Amino acid sequence: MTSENDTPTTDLLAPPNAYVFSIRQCARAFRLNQFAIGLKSPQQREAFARDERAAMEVAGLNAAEMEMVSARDWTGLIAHGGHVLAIVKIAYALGILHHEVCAHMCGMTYAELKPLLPRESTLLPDDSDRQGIA
Amino acid sequence: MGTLLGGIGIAHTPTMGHAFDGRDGIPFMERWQQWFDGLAPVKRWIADQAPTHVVVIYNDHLNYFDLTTYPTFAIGMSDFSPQADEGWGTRPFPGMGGDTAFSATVAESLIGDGFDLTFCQALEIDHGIYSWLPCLFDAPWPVKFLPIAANMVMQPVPTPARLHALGAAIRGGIAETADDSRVLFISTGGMSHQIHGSRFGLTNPTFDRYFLDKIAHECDTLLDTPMSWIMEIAGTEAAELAMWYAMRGALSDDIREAYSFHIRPEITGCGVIVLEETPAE
Repeated sequence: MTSENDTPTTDLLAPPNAYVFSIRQCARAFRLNQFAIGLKSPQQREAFARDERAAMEVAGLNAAEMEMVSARDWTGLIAHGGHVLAIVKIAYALGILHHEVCAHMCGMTYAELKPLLPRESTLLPDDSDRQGIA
Repeated sequence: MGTLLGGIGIAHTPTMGHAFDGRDGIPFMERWQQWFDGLAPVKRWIADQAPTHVVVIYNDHLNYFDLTTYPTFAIGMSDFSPQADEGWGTRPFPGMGGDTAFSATVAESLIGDGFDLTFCQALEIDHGIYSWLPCLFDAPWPVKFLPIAANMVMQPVPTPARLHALGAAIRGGIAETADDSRVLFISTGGMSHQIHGSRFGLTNPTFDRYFLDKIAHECDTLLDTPMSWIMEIAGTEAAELAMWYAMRGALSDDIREAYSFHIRPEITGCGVIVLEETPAE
């Protein structure tokens, strides 16, 4: 257990269960995240739809980042330092659902994930036994 | 002095808005309808209270703020805050009106109390508020809004204790506003959910109901629970529940629970609580 303001490092909050975005990672994928956030603009979405590569080059993404976007490697983008709330905007621009992005992070297709949702924990704060968390 | 009527805690999620709008392909519409039905008494309570102003503590989801500058606390000072386009277009609802004199009075009081918020003149508001707003008010919105955004995007986020103290300070600011201000305090976030990683879709309705049971009169128990542990048992994005502490911190101990409701429509625990101030006559 860490103090509440540290980046959590317990098993359940460590990748791949969770990618807790902090000020310590913010610089790493800054251009990628800013590019993704920019897709909230309809003009940026149109430019991306017209020519994905060109839009990413203008935004200054590096080769590895562009490759992951092209491959729809959502898990890789998040592991690289993408913020989930930013990366899903790339998916939205491509007509891909948030759930599909997250199915990738679960290592399955959305069709496989769908019947497993919602997952459920029944633990309360004073429960020390962690069994029951998916 | 302005009057604080009470507080509301409520969950938010984009799907709530899509379901409300009746968009095609929303799964579990029947359970979403139960949530909307469950909010009807809240809407009636608000109408009975006839607030003039609503202070809302919410979090932006990279829809107005981006990573260039990320304020821990930001306060919307303007007389109008439009809806943000989150990447799928805006919903058919008007922007939110504000009252610049009211906002300035509260902001001056907060800075005087040591809460150094970032002043914003052009906030755009995302589903953090819009997903539930049309469930509680009919457009055109009959109140003026004072939106205050808390960082829930990047750790370290403000601590539960700090949010509770911010709420108490806002209570002081509300007291300094005009005599005819009738103010409602809404905090929005959570409840249990995790929207990324291999635990995607994790919920904990048991915890959600525990939180709803404790927030009114046993808030200290919640404040003493490390947020990292709540994130483990109720999903990482349950961290947004810290914003509810601001609502509770704004209220006195002379409150009654007017209403609460909980359901898990899909992958986000959806709960609401209405706490009404009951001043001794």
